Amino acid sequence: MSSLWRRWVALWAHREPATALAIFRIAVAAITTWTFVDMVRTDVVAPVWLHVDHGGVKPLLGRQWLIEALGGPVPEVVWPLVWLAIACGTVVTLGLPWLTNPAALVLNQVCVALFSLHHDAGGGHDRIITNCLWLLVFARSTATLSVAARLRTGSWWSDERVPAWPRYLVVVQLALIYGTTGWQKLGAEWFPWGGLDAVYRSLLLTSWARWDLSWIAWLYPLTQVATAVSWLFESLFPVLLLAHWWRATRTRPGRLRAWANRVDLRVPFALIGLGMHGILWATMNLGPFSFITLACYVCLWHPDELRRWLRGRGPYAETPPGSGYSAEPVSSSP
Amino acid sequence: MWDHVRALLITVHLLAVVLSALPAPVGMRAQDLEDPSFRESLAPIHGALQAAGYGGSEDDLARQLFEAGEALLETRRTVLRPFDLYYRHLGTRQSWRMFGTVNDKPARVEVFLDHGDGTWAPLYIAREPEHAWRAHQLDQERFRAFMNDYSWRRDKRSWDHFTAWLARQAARDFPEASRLQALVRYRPIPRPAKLRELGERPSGKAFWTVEHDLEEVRRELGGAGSAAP
Repeated sequence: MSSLWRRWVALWAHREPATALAIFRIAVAAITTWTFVDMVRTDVVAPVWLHVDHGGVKPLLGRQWLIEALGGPVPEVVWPLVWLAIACGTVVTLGLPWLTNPAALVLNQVCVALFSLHHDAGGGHDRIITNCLWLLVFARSTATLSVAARLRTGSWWSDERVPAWPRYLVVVQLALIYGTTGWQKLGAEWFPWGGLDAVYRSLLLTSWARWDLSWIAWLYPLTQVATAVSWLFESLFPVLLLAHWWRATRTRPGRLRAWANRVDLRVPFALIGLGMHGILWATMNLGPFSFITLACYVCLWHPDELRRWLRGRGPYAETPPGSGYSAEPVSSSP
Repeated sequence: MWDHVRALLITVHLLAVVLSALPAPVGMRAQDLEDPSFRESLAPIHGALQAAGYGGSEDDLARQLFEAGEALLETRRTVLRPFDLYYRHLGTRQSWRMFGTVNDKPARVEVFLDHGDGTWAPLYIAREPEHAWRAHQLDQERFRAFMNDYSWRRDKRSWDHFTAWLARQAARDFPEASRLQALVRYRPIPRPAKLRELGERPSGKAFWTVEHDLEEVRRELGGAGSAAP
């Protein structure tokens, strides 16, 4: 047991370059900022987040501690919070020195407060945003690709190694989102005995469709394939946690481990995910759902791999001496 | 020492998020047992269980599943209670039931206006670009989220608040208009072959039709409507 605990402790003590976390930080903060900017742009803040007496659609209770402490869902409270969210989102996106982690915490708290105001006017993306921001509170994501790195080192890039555990937790979060979504798709329409017409019917839901998609009837067989692929993709996504473990222990024996590392399961999953979210975004208005979910994908890759791709080199290219990077795709960490 | 504390805190976080994310029939209602989609899913399971020796009817199985679901939810509540503050205050709650069942009787919101001539003119019809009054708001995803509840015929109280809000906006936007009508209309999804033949979705019956007297709304607004464009 103590050996197991030691290995568990060692896993969360891994350090690595901050590239993945930095890209994750930029994407999450930019998407969150845009979420608020879009609400201001479309004049939705007042009807959705203000009490009916102040121009809102519904009588809102505003029982969340921050909203209650500040005075309830009134313009004098809600609007400053919206602007504060936009300011904090900008700070986190840029990665300003000293301010980024506190700003992530403030942004997390403002999001929790505002998203709680009108529960029915939100979606899964709100929970993904707050979960991601909570991890960013602890991530040393400004070590590279940030104003902080630029001011500290004179370069946007830095090889400084930071704790890897926030990246691992993002991968776990992604596996939970997809896996439990898939496992809870119980409607017959997701299965062969229900005709596999879940995607066909979803695309025709007026609530979410960007426009009338009646022409999709001509592509019905494709929508059936998409239904099966979506369900399998989501339900099997947690396998990637195992794939990460196999990558971290690639030198150990085992045919399944060797096969998974040869195929690199992350690639087919990521390609299907990109296609699925791309189609969702193009055909349905689900707010920032597709983008905030895709923002997590970057954490599927080790920073060494990302650095090579960002520098336009192949995954097995030599790294310059002293760069701190291994020439192996991934060394001992997932 | 710090390494151990960190590992412990991460373990607690993982416990919290994994336990919260585990599938559970949250929001399950007794009337869901009669839902056609649920019944369609249940039938093959019932068939398989019967083949394995189960003697109950499909209704029995549905009732037993409901009771098991209630017991599971009670256990879940107890298990998650210690993490409640963590979920509530830091936004770490996990709930990923997205498109679990697809609405088999979808509907859309339609809004009409009487400009004072006694006839109803379409003002906003969801996803019809030629009737797009305040579409920048009504088509925004946060509006879509709660308007989607009406498509499921859920939350009539919210619908009443929403249509009252629509009336206030229309009273300001159209100073000459006398009445506003809002309703939710079924938009059945035909089988693909039928839809190809029809070329467009048929419209079904309307429900929750309400009318608002805009003169009365303006009086309540204290004459604000007369100054609006």
